[in-house]
Amino acid sequence: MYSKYKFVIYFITTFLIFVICISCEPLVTTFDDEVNAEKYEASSYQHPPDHVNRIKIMTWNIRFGAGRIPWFGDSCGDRVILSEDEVKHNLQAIADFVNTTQSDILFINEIDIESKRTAYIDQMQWLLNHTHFNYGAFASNWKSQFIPSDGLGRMNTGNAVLSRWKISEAKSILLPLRGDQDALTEYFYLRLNILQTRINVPGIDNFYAVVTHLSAFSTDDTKKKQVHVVVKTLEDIDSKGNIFVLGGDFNLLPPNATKTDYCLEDMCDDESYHQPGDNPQHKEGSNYLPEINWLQPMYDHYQSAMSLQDYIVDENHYFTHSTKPDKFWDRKLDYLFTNDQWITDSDSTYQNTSELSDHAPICAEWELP
Amino acid sequence: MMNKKFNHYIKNTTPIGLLIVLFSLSVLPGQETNNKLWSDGSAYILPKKRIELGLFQPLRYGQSERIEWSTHPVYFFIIPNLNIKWFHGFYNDIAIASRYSVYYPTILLRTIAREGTGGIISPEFDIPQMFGFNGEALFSKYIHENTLLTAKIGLAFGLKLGDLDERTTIDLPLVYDRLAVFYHGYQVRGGLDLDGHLYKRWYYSLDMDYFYIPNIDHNEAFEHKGLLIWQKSDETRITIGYKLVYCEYPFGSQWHLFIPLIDIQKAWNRN
Repeated sequence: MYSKYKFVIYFITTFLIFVICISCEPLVTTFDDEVNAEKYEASSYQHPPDHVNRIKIMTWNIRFGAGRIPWFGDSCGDRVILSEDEVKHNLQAIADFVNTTQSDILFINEIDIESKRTAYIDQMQWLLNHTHFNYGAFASNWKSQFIPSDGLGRMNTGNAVLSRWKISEAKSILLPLRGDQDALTEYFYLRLNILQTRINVPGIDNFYAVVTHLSAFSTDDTKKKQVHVVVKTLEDIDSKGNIFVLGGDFNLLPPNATKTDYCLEDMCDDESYHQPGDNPQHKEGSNYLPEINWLQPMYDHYQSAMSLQDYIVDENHYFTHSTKPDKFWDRKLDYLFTNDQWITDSDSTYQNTSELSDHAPICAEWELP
Repeated sequence: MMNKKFNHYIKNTTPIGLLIVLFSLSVLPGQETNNKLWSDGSAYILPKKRIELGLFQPLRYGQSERIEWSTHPVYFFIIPNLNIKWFHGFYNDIAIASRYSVYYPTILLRTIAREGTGGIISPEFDIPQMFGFNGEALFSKYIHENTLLTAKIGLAFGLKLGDLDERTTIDLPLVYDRLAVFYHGYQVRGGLDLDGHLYKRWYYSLDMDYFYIPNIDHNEAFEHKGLLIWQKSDETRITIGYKLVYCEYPFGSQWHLFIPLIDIQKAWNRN
């Protein structure tokens, strides 16, 4: 009898240990200050140039392949979960444009790899397989098994670098979280990052490509803190004698922008701002006045593909964003910086892409030292 | 894929055939009615007039020597549900029963298809009227003096009175596989339970359930539960355990472990 009970208890104990040891994904993935980024390769290799004198860098917030569909979270829309056909149609348009511009390195914000809102399409792999890029790195900034709000469900979205050449190193550096949210919302919300990659560009062995995306809707000094971390990260690269280019959606206007309040432009039909008794007076993420100087440290330390002098001469020419599909670009939020030199007048803002995303891609060329 | 051989067998078994098996069970001649004191996943049913209720267990009632009713009272107002277990008798020391369930998930799904916090389904979709049906055959045999083995096989059906967009799936363990019938019509289910006595007032219960939908991708789910039971008396018992879930979702397959599962069950007799 004793041996029978011993066997049963042994069986149960063993199985308990087995099941407890199985790794289970947490409901929300929180990230350490630094974690390795995920690397990708295209399904087929397209031989890149062996010798280059200049490389073309582009940065683009692709709005998770939603095109200009009125998504509930950013454009007063009522759509949440897109169909596979919608997403693939938009991705194809993005890929067609990318193939036309033939940049050598592409920085991407808001790219989904496993999200219910975009039919669980791995957009990293999809874009690699449908463009001339061979390698990619992805750093998630919003990863949750299930977001119990608005039907969002599973989410995995983030920043990416696509490159013709091999990416030898890729890490994600956590940016400060929003400080104006309650604990529960913060738990399920974005954890923005800097994706720092080292790319084996021919003829240069210390080249870093860095992409970041700052908070869009914070109403406190979160973005100021995030810029500080970006500057520190770039200083670390620079101080070791390395060269970097950085791109991304900073969600900040140029420090000399003449218009700083977009509450009325971004206002939804059922909202009211700037009127007596309105609370809040300003729409989240649309009043840039309190933060107008927060991007200045980037201009103080590094070279922008677009100088502030050029910008003030013709602001409209550099606009990269609008919230509503029926409005043309009305502000600049996307930037390229380097600690070296951009080729003079090589920058472009592709404003003919207003159907592809709520951000326009910008591009500039950089000459190898 | 979990078990290709089993898949192959299931794929070649018509649901009509399984239905016939289920219905034919109801006309098996009964030999000797038998009850166990506490209800479980076996073919045995509650003694007549005994009522059981747990924090997370359904309310069960032994109507007669052959019929046991149950429902989840906590969920009843958002998912009206009713189950009946019908004891058919013995065949070569194997107790045989069938279990049928009907439930109405529309109220719950419409409640959670909303904007803002608590929105599990996007409010952009309509949820039609839906009814779920399960039918299951249970075969139990004592493989040792105090060890009961039960095999289960059944079918689940989903009936909907309107279009249901596939983007309304709730891609969570224990939910996705159960609601899958409303997107794909029917589902085959099978499983094994092992219940036994350990020592004095201590008992255990282990079960495995397998869910399969033919002819689609991401079509399998597996659940395993282990419980340690302390039976204070014939009226009270406490269970603690775990549940392990494997499921193929639209984004890929995943394992989940739920631990601890704790429940207190009370029972009494209706006079």
